[in-house]
Amino acid sequence: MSKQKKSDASDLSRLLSIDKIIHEPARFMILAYLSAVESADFIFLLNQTGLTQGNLSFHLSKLEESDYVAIEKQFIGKRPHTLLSITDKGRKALKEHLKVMKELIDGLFGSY
Amino acid sequence: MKALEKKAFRSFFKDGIYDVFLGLILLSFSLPMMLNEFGWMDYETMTWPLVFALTLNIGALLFFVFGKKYITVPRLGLVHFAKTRKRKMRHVRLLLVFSVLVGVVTFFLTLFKVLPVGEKSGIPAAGLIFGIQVLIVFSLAAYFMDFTRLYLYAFLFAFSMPVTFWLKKIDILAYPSLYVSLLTAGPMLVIGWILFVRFLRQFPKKIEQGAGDE
Repeated sequence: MSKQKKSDASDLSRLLSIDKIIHEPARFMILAYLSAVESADFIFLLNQTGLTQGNLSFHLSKLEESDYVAIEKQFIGKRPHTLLSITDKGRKALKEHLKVMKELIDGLFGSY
Repeated sequence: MKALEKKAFRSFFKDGIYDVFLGLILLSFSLPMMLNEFGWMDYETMTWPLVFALTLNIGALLFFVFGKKYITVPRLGLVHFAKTRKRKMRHVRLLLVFSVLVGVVTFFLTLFKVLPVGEKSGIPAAGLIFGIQVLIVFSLAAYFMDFTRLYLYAFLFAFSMPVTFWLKKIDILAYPSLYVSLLTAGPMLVIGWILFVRFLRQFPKKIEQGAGDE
């Protein structure tokens, strides 16, 4: 019994080490969509995630700062076009985050 | 992630453009027969039926290409899908090429009277071949594309031609091609237009690319 409690406590402490950049719901959603495709533009993510333009832009900047997302700006004719893709680092971080979250949830609620 | 990719891919079917495109293609097959039944055109020369069918086919193709390019993509965005999806779409393209080749071969074999006309049933061999191959090809395409409505359209496409010929043979309706078209191409066009109008209402104006970018 005491061993179980100790294990749960150590599991909970792992919450402190999770990647907060990815853990934020909007950013997690963005990364999940980008990991499912090769690349997508700003409008596609806007429609799929349901975020506002400003919100999406803000979270993309955060993800770009962490090098999780690559943002390629180009012009198609005279129109600006933003192509987004998940980087290898971002894909690895997402996988790791999912793994940690799964372990935590299994550890805490596995017996339910 | 698979479910997410599937959802993203399937979101491009909600514009109704595929439905209208397929409906127009099916209509192009029966339009010459319909005009013949109305007495507006005979089969003395194959030129006019072919011109009508070809015009409608080109119109459908233009609607599809320009509709996707200038209506759907600016509203839903551009996405490059991963390798698995690209492989599936390559399968679909190969299937459609195969289908067109079978269609062309069947057409010429019928033209040169190599294929039996089907005196008893009224259904020519070409009609049966068309029906069977379309049912198989469209069903496989529906599977690879995760496009559920295409299963229904495969069924409607497959039965349109044999049923028209059979109705002509038993001669109980004045305009069999018209009624069969209403029951086969009709649902595709109605579903397509409803989806198209709903899509335009849901996404009324294009969002400028780069809007909200830093």
